[in-house]
Amino acid sequence: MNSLLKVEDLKVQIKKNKDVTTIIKDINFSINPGETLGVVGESGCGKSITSLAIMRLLDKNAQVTGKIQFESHDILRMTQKEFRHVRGNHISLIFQEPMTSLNPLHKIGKQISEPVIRHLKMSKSDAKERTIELLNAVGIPRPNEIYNEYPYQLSGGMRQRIVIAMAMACNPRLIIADEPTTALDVTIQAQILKLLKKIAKENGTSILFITHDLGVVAEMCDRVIVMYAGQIVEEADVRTIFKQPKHPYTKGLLSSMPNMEKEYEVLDTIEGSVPMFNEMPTGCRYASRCKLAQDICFNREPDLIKANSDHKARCYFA
Amino acid sequence: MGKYILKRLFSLIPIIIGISIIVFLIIHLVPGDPASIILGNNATPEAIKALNAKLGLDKPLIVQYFDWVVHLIQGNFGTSVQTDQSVLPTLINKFLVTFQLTLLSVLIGWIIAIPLGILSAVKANSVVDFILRIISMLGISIPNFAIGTLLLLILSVYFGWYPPIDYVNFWDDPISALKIFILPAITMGIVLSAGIMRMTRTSFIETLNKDFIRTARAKGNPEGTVIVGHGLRNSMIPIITIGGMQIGYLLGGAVIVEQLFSIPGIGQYILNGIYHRDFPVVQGGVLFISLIFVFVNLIVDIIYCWIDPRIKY
Ligand SMILES: Nc1ncnc2c1ncn2[C@@H]1O[C@H](COP(=O)(O)OP(=O)(O)O)[C@@H](O)[C@H]1O
Ligand SMILES: [Mg+2]
Repeated sequence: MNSLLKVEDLKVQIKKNKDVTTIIKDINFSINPGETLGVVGESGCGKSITSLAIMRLLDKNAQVTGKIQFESHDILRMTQKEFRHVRGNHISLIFQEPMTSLNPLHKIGKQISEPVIRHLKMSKSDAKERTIELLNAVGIPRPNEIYNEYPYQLSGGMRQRIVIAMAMACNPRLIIADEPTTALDVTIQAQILKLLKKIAKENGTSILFITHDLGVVAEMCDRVIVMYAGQIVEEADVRTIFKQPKHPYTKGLLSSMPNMEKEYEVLDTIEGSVPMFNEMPTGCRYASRCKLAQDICFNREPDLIKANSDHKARCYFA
Repeated sequence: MGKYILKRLFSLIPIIIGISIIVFLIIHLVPGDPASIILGNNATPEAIKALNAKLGLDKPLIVQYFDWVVHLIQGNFGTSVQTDQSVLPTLINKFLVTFQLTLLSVLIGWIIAIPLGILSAVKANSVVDFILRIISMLGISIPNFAIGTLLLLILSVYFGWYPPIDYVNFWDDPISALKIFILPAITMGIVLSAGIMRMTRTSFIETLNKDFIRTARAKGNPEGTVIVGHGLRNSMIPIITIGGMQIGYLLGGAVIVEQLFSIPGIGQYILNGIYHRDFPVVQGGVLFISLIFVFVNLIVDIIYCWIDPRIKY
């Protein structure tokens, strides 16, 4: 099967004054049509940078290299104009912060119909009809009234539904959801996840689902990549990640996850801290926190090694 | 909204009373009395006394104040000691002159400043931004009479062009009026644009860093739509605030510019009144300007509500 999105050797460097810091590197993954791929990792490991790089939304001081193949085109080699046709149309983005990602001075209706009018070239009245339909689809009550309201009149959960409606407005082939539920209450979280799952299933939309929460991964994803300090350290389907994790970091993450079945439990934490981006070690980036680390781990950086056809880990002892 | 405006208008009453007392006290406590100025150095004490009695200046201050207020309420601002003309109609006339000049100045100022301010913000910290910021610094630091004199000099010496001497209103003869107003309006427009440009830059830089701007880009909007369609309105509040203050001050009469270009505006009228201790003109004029200022503020507040639906009163 041809993959929908194929990221190869993606690397993002940020220039500040004369210093160049590499934030993410050696990022390789692909998403198949209709598939939900999870990206997990602690905050600061480069998940958002990855998603913004795909959407070409990074600041001008960021240098992005590698290849981002979407259908038959390399996103990084498209002109601004060509890519504008893709953004919000074939690929759309759901941000973490529903409170700030909507324009506070535009009515809800205008914000959702904007991409519809732009990309689908609908008339104003058709766009309005489509917008009301979208509001219904994301479970907004009283869509005709909400259409004329402003974001400040809605709760966080409602706003995230609006953002989702905006993202699915043009029936995109890929939705990148960057921690879409992190800012929400637990009950609202569950509703939003259900909604995203429904969209993915009904429209066959692929989702790149970014989160730091393994529970959410188990709920949502078909396959998972685990990121650590700007690199992918493990990749496998969702069952394998939970049943047979190979990388010590993934194992650490799993054992620090609360478990419903045990009544009392002491959660493990991973000791030590993530190295700074401007002083990355020459060896394995996780070595300083790893109980299994040997000399080789400190001296030479391991590759992402295939354990079997779909399971890869960046560890000498996997 | 209507209720809010009414409430605001009522809250003006104590402000106006306060202003009237201050204006009255300042003009009456400053040394120098009109009778001796009008009658000259050789006037006899008797003549001065007689004139003072005629003008009502021999009564106690408190009585004078109440006389003035009672007349004001009846719409009577008194008559000029100097010219014997009724003050209010003259004030309105002069104000209309100032109003035309202000409008044109603000128009010129904003047309220069807002696009350049946006450019400066979009290209923040680039060479273009650097040059624009230097220009706006110059605009703020050079006094307006210097800019005005320079404009006049260049046009008259090098191009032999002089603005017309005889004043006309815009609605009587737009072309001649434009010729009269254009130089002073450019002069003031340059001064205004410096402040507006700086504010536009600051406000836009802040707005362009907001999450919803990233959302606007993520939707596939071209950069122009992102900046103007999503950024402009969100950046307007601080710009309107500065702009409103500038308009308020200008409507009070830009004395120096009016003097330089012989524009018979309200600033000149009041300044003249001060020279001649023309109490009714100065008192009425300053009160009038204060009212205009307060009124401009009210309009600015109403514009806030219109720009941002979250602002509620
Ligand atoms: N504009 C920037 N300039 C410099 N460093 C940045 C910038 N944006 C992000 N970073 C760095 O990149 C790292 C990864 O950020 P991010 O992708 O947002 O992490 P997360 O995985 O939490 O989404 C952060 O630790 C941060 O230090
Ligand atoms: Mg993030």
